[in-house]
Amino acid sequence: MLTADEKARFCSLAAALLAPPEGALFAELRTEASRSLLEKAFREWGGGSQSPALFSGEEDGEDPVAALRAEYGRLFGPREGAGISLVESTYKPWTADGECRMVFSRSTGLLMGDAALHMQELYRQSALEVPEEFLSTPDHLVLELEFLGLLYRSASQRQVGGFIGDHLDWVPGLEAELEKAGAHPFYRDAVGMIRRFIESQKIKGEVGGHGEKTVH
Amino acid sequence: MPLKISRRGFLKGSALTAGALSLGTLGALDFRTWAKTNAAAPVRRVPTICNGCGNRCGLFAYVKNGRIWRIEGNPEANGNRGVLCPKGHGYLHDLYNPNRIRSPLKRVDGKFQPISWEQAYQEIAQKINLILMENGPESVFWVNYPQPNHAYALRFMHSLGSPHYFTHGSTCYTARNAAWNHTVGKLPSNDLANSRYILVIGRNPAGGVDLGQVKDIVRARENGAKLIVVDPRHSETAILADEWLPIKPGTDLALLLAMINVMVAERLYDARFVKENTVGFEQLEDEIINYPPQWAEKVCDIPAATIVRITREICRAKPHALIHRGYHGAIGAQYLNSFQTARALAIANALLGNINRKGGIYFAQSAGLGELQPTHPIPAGPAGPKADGTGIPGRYPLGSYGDGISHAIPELALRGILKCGFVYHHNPLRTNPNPKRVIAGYKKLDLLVVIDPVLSETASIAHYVLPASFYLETDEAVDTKHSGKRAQVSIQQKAIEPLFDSRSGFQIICDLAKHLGSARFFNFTLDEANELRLKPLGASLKELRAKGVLAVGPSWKEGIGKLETPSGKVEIASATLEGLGYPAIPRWQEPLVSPDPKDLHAFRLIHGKQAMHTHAMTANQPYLMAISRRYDLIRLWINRSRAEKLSLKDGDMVEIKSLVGEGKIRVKLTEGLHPSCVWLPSGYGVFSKHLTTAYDQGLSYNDFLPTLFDPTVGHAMSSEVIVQVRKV
Repeated sequence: MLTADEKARFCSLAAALLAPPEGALFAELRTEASRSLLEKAFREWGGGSQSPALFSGEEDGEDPVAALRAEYGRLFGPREGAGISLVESTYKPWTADGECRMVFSRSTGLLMGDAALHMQELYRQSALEVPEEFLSTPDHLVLELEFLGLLYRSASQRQVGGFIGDHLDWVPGLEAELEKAGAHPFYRDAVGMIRRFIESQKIKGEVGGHGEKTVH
Repeated sequence: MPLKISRRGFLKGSALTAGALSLGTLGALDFRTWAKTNAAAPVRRVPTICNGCGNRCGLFAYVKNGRIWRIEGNPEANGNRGVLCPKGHGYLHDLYNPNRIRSPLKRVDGKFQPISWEQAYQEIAQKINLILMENGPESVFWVNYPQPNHAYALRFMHSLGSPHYFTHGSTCYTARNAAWNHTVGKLPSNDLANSRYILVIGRNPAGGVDLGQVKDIVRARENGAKLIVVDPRHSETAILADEWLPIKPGTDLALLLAMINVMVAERLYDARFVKENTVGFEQLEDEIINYPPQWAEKVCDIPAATIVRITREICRAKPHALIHRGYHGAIGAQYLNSFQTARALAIANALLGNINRKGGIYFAQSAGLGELQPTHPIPAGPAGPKADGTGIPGRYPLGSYGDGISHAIPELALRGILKCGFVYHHNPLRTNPNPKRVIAGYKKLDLLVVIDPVLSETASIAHYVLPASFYLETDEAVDTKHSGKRAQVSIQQKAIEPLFDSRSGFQIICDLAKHLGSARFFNFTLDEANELRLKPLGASLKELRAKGVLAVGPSWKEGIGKLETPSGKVEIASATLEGLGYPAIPRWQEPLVSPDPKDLHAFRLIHGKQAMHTHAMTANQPYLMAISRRYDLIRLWINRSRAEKLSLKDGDMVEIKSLVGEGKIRVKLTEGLHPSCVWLPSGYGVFSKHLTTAYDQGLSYNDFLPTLFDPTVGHAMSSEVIVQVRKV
């Protein structure tokens, strides 16, 4: 069974996978620490002992990072290609506040929805600084996974499960978008892995929500 | 072994090193609890002005938790008086649009790369300095759709030594303005609310929405006024009217000449007004006998008896009667005869004795904004004329030097005269005629810088794109857009923090000037400049900020006084025009082109606005486009009898073809359109792939228009095109 620390590390790893690709990514993925963490996670989810094969990047020729970078731009870039969003607000109605009179109050596809405001509040309470490039997307999946990693070190299973249910319930929708766009297996595997992880954790949070962990 | 990858985190803070979150965080963790608390947050009201179209209606933006929460019309704003149109509401969608430009962009190998503002400014300055050295300041231009920063854009161009500041006017209104200027000295307004008889020719305030005018028309109708709409199409304004007269497009001049003929022949005009306040009536008498209603009926398809009747009716109601001063349609920029049509319209109003009269045509009070000099010196004006020929005898002597002829920019670029351009709050690739030519021209530029919140068609081909803030994210210069019976000043104010690394138009202009060595002409802040602009009006910036719109100066008074024409009177006959080789009195002038009546497939292509769209910036708003789809509005209107001769049924797909373009679209069969034309709603035909909602939806009339310049004013003559329509 994954420890809280391992889950936190898994979240950091998962966040890195969905950040703009950097050169060191593949090397780090091939380290023993990464492999053993992923294999353990997969076993726990009933997915066998194999971590996603394409994390090796062997298919992408001499410069897999460049290929991955191009694919990242195609999938998630704001100006070209599939235009797939990694931002929670865009998958949900903009606000649940019945007092809002904007024509788009219940629309999806927009930034800075309720989810973004809630994440902003959580960062503020935690004295966490959001980098400039994420100021308009505080509910970006990368930040939410990083925050989830912190929760594993501080919160009860019930609280973690609650956060996952509140803020990561849209990941299956993202997975479907990637499938539809014919995304590189790296990203399909990465998001599939995150989806399986949060599903398993959500269940644990829901059924195992007894007693509170000591809060530091 | 620790995972190095886990150190690549983006969040920063002490919780990361301490490895624990605070009690406060965990208390706020539950979304539903937080949402309940959050719903009770206070709401703040910020007065500002809308940017959904050029009317810039006054509005109140309500902000809750740092987000826009509600908008409503500012009742003090003369132009909209408390109401907002669908565009105002729908355009707000762009504020939270993930496809907005998030930082300055540079085109590298055909793709945009994000760069810093400083890099963008430095590189743009380096390139412009080279262009200035090699080609001189005249090779640089600026073009914008009307916006409150125009004085600073002009200052910027003048600081470089360039005369080339342009607006979109030559594709919109310059023929109308020139005609009114040469007849009564300036462009007047309509006192619709107090009028007893309103004749609207080629203007559609309920479609090309002017909320103040619609309210006034409704009020006048409630008070018993008669409303007649002359339009080839049964427009949104025609729906409000007592009578719709479906005129043959391009022949409004014939109708007006015949009306003047009846006024003169039957002595229905205001003889005292004419004697005291006009020049050239005798010449008019001599000329106008050529245009009896029976002649006009054959030209414009309005029965002679109807022309006589409405002329008698409007004259009975004078001087509290008016013929709408017009806008784009018929007299703005659409035909070869638009200038003469607008002249005839102005003269017909003068014969009603309604100039600056209650219920007639009146001169709106103007708010004379203050100057920044001597505190902040103004650059010397440019030495040479504009390369487009505006104001130059032998070229476009009646063209507006201030507006320039913006649809000449591509031609001037292709000829190597213009080398570098700034496009701000404007999208000429979509809104100018003949896009293939426009694209070729703008692509020929050595440097194209576009300032826009989204990647429009024009931004998509730019060398650099500078992200303008959404209008609710920034303050801008004070404006006088809402002036009417009292002058008004208005202000755009920041309601929320910018979502992205964008900047206000004012700041971008100042930053560019500073990087180009013109800092001495921009040594002021926006607040300082706004204070100086307001100073002569006795209005304070603080008060304006609190209200959004302020009435200033005295109220309008009836009475004509001395006009700003060479004679000081209404110039029925214009010596100026005669001196330039044009008729002193309006004469009949055929449109440039007309469809062959024997050709079943030949139609004049005309266009106009629907109430939820304007130009090129609204079609990409999902709710506005949803209205278009729900009511099946993206169709070509065609007269039912003509359509049946082409075996067309409602909803059939047709091909439209002109000399310069072709496209396919579904048709709407209607009795509400003159048989000689087809009508295309404007605002569609977006071809920027970055505007995902609007992309490839419908057609634009510009796709079919050749590049034309009226020989007098230089306007685009945007309805002088014959298309072939065939069933697909």
